[in-house]
Amino acid sequence: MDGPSEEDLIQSARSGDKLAYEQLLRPNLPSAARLARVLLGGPGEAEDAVQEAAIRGWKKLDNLRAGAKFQPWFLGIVVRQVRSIQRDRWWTTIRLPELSSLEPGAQDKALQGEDLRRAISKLPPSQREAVLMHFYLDQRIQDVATSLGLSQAAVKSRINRALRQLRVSVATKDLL
Amino acid sequence: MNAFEQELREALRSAYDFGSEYPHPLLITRIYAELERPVPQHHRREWVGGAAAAALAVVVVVTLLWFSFQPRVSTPISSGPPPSGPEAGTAAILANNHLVYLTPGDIQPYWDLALADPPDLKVSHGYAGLGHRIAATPDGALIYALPARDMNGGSELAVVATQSSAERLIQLPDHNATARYGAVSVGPSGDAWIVGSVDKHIEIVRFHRQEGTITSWSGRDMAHWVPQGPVGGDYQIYEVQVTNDEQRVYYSYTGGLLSFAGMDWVDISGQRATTCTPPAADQACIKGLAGFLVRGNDVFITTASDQPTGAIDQYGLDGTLKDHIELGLLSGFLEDFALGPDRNHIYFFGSCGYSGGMAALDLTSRTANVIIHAQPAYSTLTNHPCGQSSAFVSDTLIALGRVSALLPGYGAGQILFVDSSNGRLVRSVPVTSEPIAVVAIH
Repeated sequence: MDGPSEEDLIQSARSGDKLAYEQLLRPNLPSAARLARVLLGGPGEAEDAVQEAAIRGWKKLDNLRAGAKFQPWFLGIVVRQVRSIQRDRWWTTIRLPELSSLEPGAQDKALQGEDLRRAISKLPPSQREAVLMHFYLDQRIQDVATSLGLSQAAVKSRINRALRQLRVSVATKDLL
Repeated sequence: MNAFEQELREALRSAYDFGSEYPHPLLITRIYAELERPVPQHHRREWVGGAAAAALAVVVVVTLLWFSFQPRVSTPISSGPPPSGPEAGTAAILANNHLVYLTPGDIQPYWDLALADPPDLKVSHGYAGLGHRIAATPDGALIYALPARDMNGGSELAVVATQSSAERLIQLPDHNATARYGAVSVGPSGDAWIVGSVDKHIEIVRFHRQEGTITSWSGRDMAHWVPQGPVGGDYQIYEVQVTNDEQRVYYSYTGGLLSFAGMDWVDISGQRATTCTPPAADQACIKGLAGFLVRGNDVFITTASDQPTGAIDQYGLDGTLKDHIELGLLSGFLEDFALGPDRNHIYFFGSCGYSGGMAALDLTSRTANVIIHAQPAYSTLTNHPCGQSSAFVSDTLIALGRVSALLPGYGAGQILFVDSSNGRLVRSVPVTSEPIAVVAIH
């Protein structure tokens, strides 16, 4: 393996090495930003959330257990930051695609995506987070559990309930 | 993993495909810069780091130099202590669609936010202000603004957090891309009420602050209003006010057909919006020019019939003209006024492009008091208060958007702070463009 291990980087970051922390963050920013953007809706707000989460992570590195992976821990901070923003936020908006500007085939796809986004947005927050982390970010169940501070059984339960609701909300035959 | 789960995984990737450029490549730089920042601060997105930081520094220096070289026209008319009472903040929307916020006592904007590209200033009625409007929630936390596309307004609502300047643009109902919203107000709930014209009918919109949703109602058909002449344009929604129970919405409209201009209202009940009954199909329920105030069953409204002096009409809500009150200023399309803190006096400023002047009207006695006499060709004077939109920001201090000519322009503008008791100019704040509408932020 090239370069320092994740554990080494965590150790260096804990001792104040910001470059080491940056090396830890860099590969995880795309996942974190995508998750925040799906949960919050807007790119700028999502990046602000990731930035704030990164700063909080820096201050709380000592809370990362020895041997624990960085990504689930950091995504957990992102999720908590998103929740904080959502608590403070007083409105949301859903931007619809400009259908007239799309090719006929693309219109169907856009509609499918929009319907799925609406269905996802109707899930309870705890289920939405679990589903997105598992199916959208490809996180393992045990990592989702670490991020959300839940047991693996609880995560599975939330995902199963969400899938049941998604099957009802979305005409799966047509949309998925 | 079953087929449904696999399809869900693929559908999610497709539905939330933000492209390879997301997140912004400089996000990591920005985070690193935040970690390096010695004192933790909360800022909006700032791409600091490397060349971006250098560019930011240049902008700051240039901005400071720009302000320091702006001509100061705030020479007080008379000296004396500042007006009493704590001062509120002030927000203004400028001709170039910038929104500025001034904290109490500011001599330059606390922030200046570009909401949209500058509007088309070429077409106008020849006397009216542009369709930029602004309102603030009762708690002062949010500013609602309507950036203008042209003289009749725009089709988006900007919701801006006062302290941070964080903003959201919300598309208002816009069937066939014909919508022009020209007035925004706030009810006691903090919701925004917006009135515009869509496909030649009135559209009333409520933006629910807590839910972040929009409700809209179709109102009166305005097909009788025919655009007038090469610069006449269509009718322009000018002002909206909502009752405390948020069940009735008053709005005024103006334009080239002055005989059709005035004020209507709608009563909102569930999905129904019932418009007042005008005396004739092409008439307003209350005849007038632009700005208005509803006080009990009376309406005070500016009037195009302002010869020989600036005047205001008092109507009953049944459409009866009760009084025509001369203000003692010269004629020249007095469109707007500010309601005093005692809610019994309204204050007028003459247009800089006409004759200027300042007057106060006692609504109970219906007597006017000229504070500064109007003068012909007033626009040549630069150290006297004149303009259109104004708002009280303390017990005695009025913030006034100064527009130097008949119509607003992109040139540098000023927000004047005027002592309401004597018309003394207390200070002026230079802004990047002429202010069209001002509001106090309490």
